[in-house]
Amino acid sequence: MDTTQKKELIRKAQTGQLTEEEYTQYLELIDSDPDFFDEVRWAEFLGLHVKAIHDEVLYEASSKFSMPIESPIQKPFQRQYLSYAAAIVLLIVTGVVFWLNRNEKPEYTLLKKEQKEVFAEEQAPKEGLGYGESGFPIGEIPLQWLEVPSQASRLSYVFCNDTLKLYLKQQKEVDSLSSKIQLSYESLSRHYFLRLPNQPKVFLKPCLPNTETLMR
Amino acid sequence: MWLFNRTLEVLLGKIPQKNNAALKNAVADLFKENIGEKIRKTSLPAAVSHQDLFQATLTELTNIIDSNRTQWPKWYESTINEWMGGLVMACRWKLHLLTWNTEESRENSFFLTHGLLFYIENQPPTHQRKLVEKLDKSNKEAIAMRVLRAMLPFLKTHTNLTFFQLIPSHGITLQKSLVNDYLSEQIPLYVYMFIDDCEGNFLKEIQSYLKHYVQKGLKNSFIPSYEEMAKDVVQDAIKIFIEKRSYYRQHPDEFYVDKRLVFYFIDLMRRYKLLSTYFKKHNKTDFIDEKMEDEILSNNINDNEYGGLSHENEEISIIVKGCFNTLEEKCQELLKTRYLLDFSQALSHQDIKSRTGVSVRTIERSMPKCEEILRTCIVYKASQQGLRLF
Repeated sequence: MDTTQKKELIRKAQTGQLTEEEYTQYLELIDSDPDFFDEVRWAEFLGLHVKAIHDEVLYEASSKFSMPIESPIQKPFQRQYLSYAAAIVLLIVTGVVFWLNRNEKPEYTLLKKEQKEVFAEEQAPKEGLGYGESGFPIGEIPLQWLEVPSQASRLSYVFCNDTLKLYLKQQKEVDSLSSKIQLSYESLSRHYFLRLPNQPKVFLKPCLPNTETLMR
Repeated sequence: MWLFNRTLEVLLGKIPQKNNAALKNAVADLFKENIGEKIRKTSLPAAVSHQDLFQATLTELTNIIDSNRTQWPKWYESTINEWMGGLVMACRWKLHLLTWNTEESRENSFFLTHGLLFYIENQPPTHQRKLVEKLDKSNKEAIAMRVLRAMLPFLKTHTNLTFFQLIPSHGITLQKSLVNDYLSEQIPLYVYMFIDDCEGNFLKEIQSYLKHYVQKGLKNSFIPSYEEMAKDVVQDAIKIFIEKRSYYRQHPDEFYVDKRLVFYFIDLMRRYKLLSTYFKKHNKTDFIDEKMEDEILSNNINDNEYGGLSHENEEISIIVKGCFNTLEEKCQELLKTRYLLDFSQALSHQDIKSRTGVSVRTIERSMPKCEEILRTCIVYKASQQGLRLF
């Protein structure tokens, strides 16, 4: 029996594939041939070590992985409720979006936009000493004229973000009033005022939630 | 649903055979969530952390998938997931193995015996098929338990190896390559002890192995005429064993073997002080006394019980690894394919050809050369360090 055949016999013995006849041959060689016995031990030794080398690489590769963090696992009934909730939220969001973008008929009509000159208000020191200059223009602010037929008063306003919006009940008054009103600014108190014909000056209250009446 | 339950061939088939890192990454991506989930549901002993168990499970899983490439077209993602809980429990058992005593380990390892039973029933050593046919189910189950018991000391000292294999019909069990030697010993041993008086070739094989081991022990201790002595002493050991059989047959629970059979017999020789008795009988006490006997049997033989892979032999492992890594890549691949693929069997040259595409002629020419280069390197380096291999 040559070396290759002996090695094949050893391979079969160690993998449980010897036939009865081969097993008898194997026993004879084990008993009578010390070199064959050494070969048997060598194959056993090598098989175990090759496996150890292979497995070491696997273990090294695994050490780079960490156990995943727990993520909530949804059971079937939870998933069902979650889908209902999602559908309701979707409906609400859709409703809100539509409501915000609804195509309503506006309650007012923009009549005119203009830049209105602002004049310095008379400024007298508190102690009454010296004098205060007044009456000269110091700048402009945007002014919008709007018609609101449904409002009760002839004229009202909203003053916010340095823009004055004046609401008229009747559109026809826009030109006459536009030429007569005067805006002024008091630098000490940092207040704006509005003067109307035959009326006392009115302090413009900033950013009111509703319109404020100017003329009844 | 088939879209969500693909075969491993579909999932992993494009990964080249040699690229272990890519396979590992792919396996981790596919199964890490399920491994994590199963681990979180498992109560762990104090010595075992979630991370340890995760890494051990991932390693074993990659190895199972890698070593069963021929099964990829038949194994679905769900096949693996179905057994993931079993694999996690098996790895938990493995990580806790060192701190268990033998009895506890046996009690907690019944899950492994189902697979061992599969090996006994379906893949017994070919020349033992007729023996297995004589056995009923309870005999086979008893042998499966005995195989496991005999393996436990080996497994305890080799937790650095991968252990497990998946047999979908039987679950998670030990790899066939680890089981083979124990299986081929425990089947005829059981039959001889408890069923059939015909000893057949079983004792002859043990006797031959023992003779070589004892001869080596005596030779290394410079005992003259060691060959004849070894034969006689081994004969005495076998005689004692045969005499004990009738007692054990009456008390089967008292007979068990916790190691490879040859080392069981060496222990028996030591217990009965057969060497020193032999020398006394032949008036040669100048050569050996009881203390020396222990040294001869322990130092010269038993240290290498596990093929130089025990924790005490780390130097040898380092030498083998160093020599293996100096081999040409082609040699490394051939040896790995020869010894590792499927793990259930070392492959024949024809098998290697069918898996690697390398011709049988090339393999027949290359394999002996590769083994010889490796062997020369290992023997040389071991002798330089004064280490004996086996």
